[in-house]
Amino acid sequence: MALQALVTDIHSLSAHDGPGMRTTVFFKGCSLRCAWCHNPETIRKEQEITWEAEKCLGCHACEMVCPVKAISFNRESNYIIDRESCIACELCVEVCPAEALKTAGEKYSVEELYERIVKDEPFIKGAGGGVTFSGGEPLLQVDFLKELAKKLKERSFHLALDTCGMVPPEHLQGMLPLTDLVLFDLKEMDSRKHKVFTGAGNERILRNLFVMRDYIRERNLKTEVWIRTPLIPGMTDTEENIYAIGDFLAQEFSGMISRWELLGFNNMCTTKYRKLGISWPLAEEELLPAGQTRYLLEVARKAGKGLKEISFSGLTRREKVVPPRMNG
Amino acid sequence: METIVLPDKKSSIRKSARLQKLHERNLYLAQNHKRDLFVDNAEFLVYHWSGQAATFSPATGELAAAEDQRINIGDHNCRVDNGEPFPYVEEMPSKVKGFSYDANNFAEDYAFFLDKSPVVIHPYERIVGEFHWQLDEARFFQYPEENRKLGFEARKLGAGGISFTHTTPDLGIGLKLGWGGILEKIRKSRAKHEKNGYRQGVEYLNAAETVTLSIIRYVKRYAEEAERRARSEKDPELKENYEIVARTCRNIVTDAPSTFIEAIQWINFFQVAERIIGHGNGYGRLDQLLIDFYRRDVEKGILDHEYARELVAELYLKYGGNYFSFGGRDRDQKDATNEMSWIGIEAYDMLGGYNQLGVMWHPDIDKDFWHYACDVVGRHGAGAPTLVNYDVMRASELRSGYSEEDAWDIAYSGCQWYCSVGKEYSDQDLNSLVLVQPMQRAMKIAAEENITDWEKFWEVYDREVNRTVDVLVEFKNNTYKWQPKVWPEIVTSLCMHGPIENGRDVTDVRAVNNNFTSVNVLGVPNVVDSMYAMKELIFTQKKYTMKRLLEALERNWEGDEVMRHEFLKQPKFGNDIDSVDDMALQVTDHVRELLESKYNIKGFHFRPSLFQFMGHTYAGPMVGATPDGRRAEEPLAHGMNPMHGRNTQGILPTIRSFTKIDYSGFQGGSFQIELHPSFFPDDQDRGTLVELFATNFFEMGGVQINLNVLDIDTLKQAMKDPENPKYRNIVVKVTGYSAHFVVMDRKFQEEFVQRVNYQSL
Ligand code: SF4
Ligand code: SF4
Repeated sequence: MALQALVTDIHSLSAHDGPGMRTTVFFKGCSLRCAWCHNPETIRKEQEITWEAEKCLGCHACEMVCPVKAISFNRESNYIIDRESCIACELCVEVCPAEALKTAGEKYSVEELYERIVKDEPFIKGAGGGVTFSGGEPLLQVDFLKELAKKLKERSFHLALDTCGMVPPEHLQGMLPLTDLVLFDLKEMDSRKHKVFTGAGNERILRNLFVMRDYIRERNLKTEVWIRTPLIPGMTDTEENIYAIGDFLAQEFSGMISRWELLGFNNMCTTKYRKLGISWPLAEEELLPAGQTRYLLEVARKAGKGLKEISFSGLTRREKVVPPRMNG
Repeated sequence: METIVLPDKKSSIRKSARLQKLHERNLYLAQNHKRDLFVDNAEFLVYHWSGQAATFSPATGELAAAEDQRINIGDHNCRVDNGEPFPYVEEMPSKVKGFSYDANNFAEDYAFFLDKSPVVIHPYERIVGEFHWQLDEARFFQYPEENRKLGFEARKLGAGGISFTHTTPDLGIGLKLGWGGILEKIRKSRAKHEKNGYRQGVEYLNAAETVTLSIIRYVKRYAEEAERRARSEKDPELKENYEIVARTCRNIVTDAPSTFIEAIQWINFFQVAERIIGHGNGYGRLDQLLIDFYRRDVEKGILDHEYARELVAELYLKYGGNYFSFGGRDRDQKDATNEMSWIGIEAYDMLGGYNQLGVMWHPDIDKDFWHYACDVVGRHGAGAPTLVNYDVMRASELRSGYSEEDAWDIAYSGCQWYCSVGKEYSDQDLNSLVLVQPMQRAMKIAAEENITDWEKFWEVYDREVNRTVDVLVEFKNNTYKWQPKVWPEIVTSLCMHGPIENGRDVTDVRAVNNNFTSVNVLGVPNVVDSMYAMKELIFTQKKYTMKRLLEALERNWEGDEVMRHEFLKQPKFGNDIDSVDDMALQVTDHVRELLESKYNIKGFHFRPSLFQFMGHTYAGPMVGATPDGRRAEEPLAHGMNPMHGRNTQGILPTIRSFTKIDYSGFQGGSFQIELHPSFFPDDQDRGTLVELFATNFFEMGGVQINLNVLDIDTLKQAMKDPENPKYRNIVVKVTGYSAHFVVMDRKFQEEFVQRVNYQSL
């Protein structure tokens, strides 16, 4: 059978996933379980049915049509789905009149996804942009990814790979020659904490950073690397962590990394969790105050001496004092 | 047209202290409702005919609508309100000697009115001339009863329109001849027609002479007043200004302007003399009109780039929204951009805010100038200049049957319309066809006659659209019969190719080369989505009967929420889905062919335009719920832009759907986008992105793009007033997200307006 991938979303004109305006493809399935995940619908590698309470009319059509009786409604008319027994037949989605039910994860062949991306070509190329593979963890579908990347490279698209690093090293290596830019997430230096926040220690991720460095050097690849660190309130937003990451990067990778971005936390994906029926502990978490991000940026600049560009992007909480420019 | 203006403009071009003072006064006028423009009622916005005034709403006088009834459509007026009605209403010649529908009766009123319009010179001005009243406040402006009857019949079937000053005179004629030269031209032509015994022509030219003489007196009064002030003024700076004004005005009382400043002043006098009879023309390609004056003065050493820019900016300030265009091609189809194009856009860049300037793109346009124009759009974020596609506009003129010679000299002239400069009186922008209405009649017929076959239903639809078009044609033709008698546009005629030569007013038959009638078709995307949903659910799947649907619509879907959602769930135009986009082609081709098959009494066919400036926001409750799942209280779609919130796939699929239509078959169809600053990447300037957008959009065949960048205050207003259609289309974007702002979670909105990071863009 031809290669297929599960994609949750294709986002045209994305301004925040690498240089310029980009088309970002979100692949489904992830190897980490970050507490702050912004794209919870990309975590599981199977198709999932999502339900929007606001749209639901309570007609029970979905319940009636489900062949395996996976759907029920509780007394408050809240939809309950038994994900274990759901076979993703999508009959409920089809029958739902209100579009309250949707399938997260659409199957694409290489050809289909390629055609879809090429439609955006004049817009993304003109703005010095390209295509970003994101997710989830795109490298979990590496065979598909390589095929797609090859075709896109033939048309000289700029390609970026957004990875959490928690992948078999050969997957990463296999994609590097086809990749212009790696957006590599480095979240937490303390492996124990890393395990608490993301479900896994960071050893493999750090190892992959070295693997990537050596591979790029040995083969003389032009691949650029950006490191991205999410600032999560009460988790990764500590001075020690930012200092440790900065220090580590400066020691080992200073020649190779062209940008280190600190990304501000926001809880705007709360509704996504709601649709999946997952309660999310960070739903009520506030934005970081601008003062704190400014301070962390200073820490980062101090620790990461020698790194080319260190910047913050994202939303911050407004304070009384007028904050200075924060973006680079 | 809605534009939202950023309070804080970023421009590197500094204003002189003098210009700053004039700018402040201009802002004061706009913000204090001195430049407001009114219409009688919501029907005017939907049908472009109020059933009351034969024009927009006269601000004062007998035919003015009650204050609490008329609708303020914004600070777009040229008229400067002084809070009083015209003091000499009772002395108007038509009141004293008797009113009649003819050009000379009109001309006498005009001359009296202009003679009684005071000379207004403000300190620091170098370009002068403004007015407080329009002629429709003092002279009876109403068509005979037979015409109004036809108007109401047309409205019943979903159409309407007024015919009034939406053309583009060729100011080059006046700049070459001056008022004296125009007078001479009138008299020569009159002598010729006298000899030939063409009585009507002689009569008309008598009227034109009366009007021209009054304008000459008007200019002379300005010269005299400025001279008087120059003599008595003690302040040396003001004295110098008055001297400049006096000299400029004196030189152009009858003579043609010979310097740059005289040319600008001449243009302003023309605008005043013309706009005083009512609202709205375009004034052509300012860069072409002024380039020779500019070059000559620079050569003589009496002008430089900066001063020219200041004077053009001053010209802009005299007016509420300037209808000039720039760029485009010349007669040989080469790029026409010149130094004046730069000066014209730089002058706007200094001022920012609301304006109606247009830049005409084509693939060969000067790259730097195009980039600059896009940069200005991005920086000021107020949708100005409007970006249009010269080649598509020209192609549409050629397709309609304009000669090559008339089609090349085209100018973007207003909201969505464009004209062959000085060579057409194409009645555009103010005719309306509410396409939803014939569709609704067809649905009723289908229910009564039990039609279950799509092809048959389409036949009924075709018949009903035809019926609406026919009454519109009858109404328009009757209007054309009366127009040169009711409200001749004599000042406009002075700068047109034909009327003076032919002894016929520009509004008359055979006065100019091109006389098409363009009709704004309202609600096209709603009809497209409705037809598609009905085709699927009623005629193909037969899930519902037409009768059942009509019952649900009658109740505004109440109690039929499931059913409404089924109709809503059908594919919608604007998502790059071929099946429903094909329906868009079918519906638009159909209305185009129908209109093109009808002729006006001037011998020209009707044309559709896929845009309407405001009607969509008012038409909802008038037409009721529609089969696209729309509730009655929701607005209709804006022009050909997909229905608000139904284009769920983002901007690019919307553009792809939008440009499947061949716009050379239509008289305009603009694409609206409102972007939040967060949309733009941190590391890229907005101009580059606006340019990228617009260029690609045009290469795909789009004809016009109105691009607004919104600020935080607007978002705050949107939070307070989420039902306001003005805010419905705002798209904001944060990492990994983009959505319509007003439909986002409250919490999200609050957090969003608190963001600081993007403010530093
Ligand atoms: S996708 Fe199929 S199996 Fe899963 S809940 Fe819906 S109807 Fe049931
Ligand atoms: S079919 Fe849709 S609207 Fe009906 S109960 Fe299920 S989710 Fe709600």
